[in-house]
Amino acid sequence: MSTDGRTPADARTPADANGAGNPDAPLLELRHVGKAFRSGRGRKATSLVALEDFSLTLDGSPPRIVALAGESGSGKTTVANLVLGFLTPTHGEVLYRGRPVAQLRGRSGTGFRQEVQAITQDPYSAFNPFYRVGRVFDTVIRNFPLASGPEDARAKVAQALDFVGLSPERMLDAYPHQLSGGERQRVMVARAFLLRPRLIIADEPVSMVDASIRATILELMLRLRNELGVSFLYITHDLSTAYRIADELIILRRGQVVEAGDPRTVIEHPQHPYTRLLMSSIPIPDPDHRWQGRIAELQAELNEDLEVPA
Amino acid sequence: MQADERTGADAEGSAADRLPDDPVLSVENLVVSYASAAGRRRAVDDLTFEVRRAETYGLVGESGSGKSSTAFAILGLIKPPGQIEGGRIRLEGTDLVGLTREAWRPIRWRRISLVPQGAMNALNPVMRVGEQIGDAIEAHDGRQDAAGLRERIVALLESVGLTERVVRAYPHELSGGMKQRACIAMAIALEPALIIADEPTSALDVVVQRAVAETLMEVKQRIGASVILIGHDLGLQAQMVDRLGVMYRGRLVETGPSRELFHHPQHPYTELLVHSVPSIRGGGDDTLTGAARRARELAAAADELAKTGIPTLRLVGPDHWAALP
Amino acid sequence: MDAPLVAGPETVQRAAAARRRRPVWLTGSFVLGLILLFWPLVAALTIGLVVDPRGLRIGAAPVGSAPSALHPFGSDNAGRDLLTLLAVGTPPTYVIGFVAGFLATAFGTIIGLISGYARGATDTVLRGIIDVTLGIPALAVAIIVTALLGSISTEQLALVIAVLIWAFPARQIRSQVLSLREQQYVFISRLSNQGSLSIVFTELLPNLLPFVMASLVASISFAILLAVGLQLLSLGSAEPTLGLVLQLAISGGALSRGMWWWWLPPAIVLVSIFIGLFLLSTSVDRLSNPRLREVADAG
Repeated sequence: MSTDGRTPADARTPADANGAGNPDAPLLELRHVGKAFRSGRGRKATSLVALEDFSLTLDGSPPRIVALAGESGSGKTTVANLVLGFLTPTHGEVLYRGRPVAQLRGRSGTGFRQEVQAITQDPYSAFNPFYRVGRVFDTVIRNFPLASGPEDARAKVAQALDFVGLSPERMLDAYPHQLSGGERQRVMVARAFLLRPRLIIADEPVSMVDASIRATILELMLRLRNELGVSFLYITHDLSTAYRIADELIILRRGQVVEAGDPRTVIEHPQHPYTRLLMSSIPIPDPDHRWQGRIAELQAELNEDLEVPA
Repeated sequence: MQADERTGADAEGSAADRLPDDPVLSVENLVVSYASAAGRRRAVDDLTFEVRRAETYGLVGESGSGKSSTAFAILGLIKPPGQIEGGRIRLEGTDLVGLTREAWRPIRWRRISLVPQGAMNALNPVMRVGEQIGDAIEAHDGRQDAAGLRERIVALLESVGLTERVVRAYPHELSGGMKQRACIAMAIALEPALIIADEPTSALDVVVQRAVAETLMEVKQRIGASVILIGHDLGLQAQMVDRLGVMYRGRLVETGPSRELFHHPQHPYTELLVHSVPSIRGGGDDTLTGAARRARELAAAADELAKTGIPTLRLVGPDHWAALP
Repeated sequence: MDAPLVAGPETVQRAAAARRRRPVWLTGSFVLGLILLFWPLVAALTIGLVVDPRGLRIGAAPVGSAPSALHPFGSDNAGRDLLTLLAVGTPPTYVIGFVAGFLATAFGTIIGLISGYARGATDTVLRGIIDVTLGIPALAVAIIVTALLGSISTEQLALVIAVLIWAFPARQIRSQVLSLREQQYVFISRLSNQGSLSIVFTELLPNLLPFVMASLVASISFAILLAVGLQLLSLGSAEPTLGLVLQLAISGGALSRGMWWWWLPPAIVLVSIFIGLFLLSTSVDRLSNPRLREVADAG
């Protein structure tokens, strides 16, 4: 994997000249965002509150990795979809560079779409089994102003694959089922590299990848931040990886922020009872440091109910 | 690794740390293969290990390591195109390889049971939980009288931390952790000698995971069973197991007491797995780049060792074996 | 660790997936189904080339005569040469079946795709239309329509039938689309600025082909069934058709009069067509039922 020592400035593509939004505003801002899902109609309608009064500011310069940690049902996936513009908030605003995402999606769509990208959780279903792997890059090159012609496109794709340590000869003509999970995820990172976004929503990018490859994928994310100036919203349930890679950690529970701050501080000195419960449940890979006490007692002590039946 | 070789080597080790009883499960030279377009390929290749009485044995490996095939083989669930090509699997002396369906009947659930990955697959969504447990008991323990059976079911559920209300509940009314605990209740209903837990907490939130893990350990203690904990989360393994076996490409590359493997891993693949879990205990001296590079180096080393055929296990520490030349 | 020495289930699954790229539905039963379905058509077309159309006229042959050298299939009670009748009457049944089947499947697939992908108001409206159409008893309406219209051409009949049966493929395809659209590659496509129409036709449709095939076979079967049913009631076209011949035979008392050459050949052909379609549909069903995994789950 070569680092070509480019500064973020030269690595940017022509799209930046008319980048979406206001360059002085923070990259991403969520202001008191609430999101409720309604199902059913009329009197039998129920409302599920996925997110409540959620606020977040991600400046973007210098580029940062903000980890959003939570369990299932915490609302973290909702935040991802809101930022990507696939959902609209019930309350509050979701702003990209000062402009509401809902607006940007529609009009200067191309700019926003290119600048805000995602890396998803499941490397297996991220590829259409019907087509070769190379098509992932073809689609992106076709839909965004990334290359000046087929030769340039080929070179850029090769560069992207080189960044993640894969060879174009092997990858482009292969079918997804011929690749391992780790390889597929790396192709997804290469796709992101090709796009040169400003912000990547990484939704559990390593949870379905073998442990031995996880560090490599996380390292690629760090390199994207350092070498291309990409900021990340890193969504995860695994606090150990957040600890490793994040500049800021936010703990979500049932749609609300429970604790936030420097990852080291939050993890080593949790303040909120839920965070404390979380920390004490993380299995430490050392037989000499086993869980103390019983979780049921800790739960009672902290007065947090563990499980809500579906 | 031949059984007699091992006993001989054991005699050199400390006799004091050998359990007096015979192992509950003894797997010897197990070979499981699958037919595919490219011919027969081995998912499990000459596997030998044992599980002792009342211990928790962790079987770890990543995708393609063969750990799930091993579990299926032990439970007699290998179906064509899969096949047990050779070896023995002895459960308290009874060889499980090649048993007929009839012969399995008194063994399944009574002497060996399973806590599966993802309760969704184990629990029937259209039957009440209590009924399912009752069915499992009656299928393997003969008909019971209604009152006695109900008492037994309630007691079982309580032993895993579930209230009586769960008896009449349908699976979809329970949370993930509760469903998993119901599966544990089913697995211990007839107090088997060996429980195979196949990634029992993989889909659960971390706090619930701890609760379910603790439940499993408690009931195991109470009935004196042994547990094989299959998984790939080494953090969880460290919390739960007494001894650990690491599988790589169908073979066991290291096995021994859990402290030994976590603190003194001998095989590069073991080291890779152990260090791939970033510990949040503080320290963090290890940069991500360094960790990633080390992971790649270890993976290459493991690959190198495997190139000419993974060597047989040899003694490298107290009760600690590794597949090194 | 990219190419394991021993194959775990993951590698075997990859091999199985590679195998899936070969036509797995090309089984014996599929080939047999094809033969049973098409031999009457081939025979009819071939014979039709050499046969004399005057044999269709009343009195062309001695009334009610058994098979002979001049009239290998004998004649009916109006003296029409049965060989000619069958040769001319068989192909239209296929035309109706295939035209109606293709039309219904094509239209139903498009509606199903749009409805399943668009969701929201579009889906609600389309789904309503699908449900209402499904509720219409096809045979009853076909009878009414053809009775009212009197004699219509084969093509027009095919159209009428297609309008009655497109909802089945539509519903099938819609439910598949509902699950497919949750696949992560659809999400990635949207992130790549792919338009909805492009996603539906280039991402989803290729993965739906097995279902489309299955729907096609089902639609053709149903269309032929409807057509023959109408013909047996002497509705639909006035041109000679298989069903018409059979109907005339039955009403002409062929059974009681022992005129086996009149009712047996059309019956055999019809049975053969339906068994053929049945075999085809069961072997194509394997395509849309990917229980092609014979291996244990990945470990």
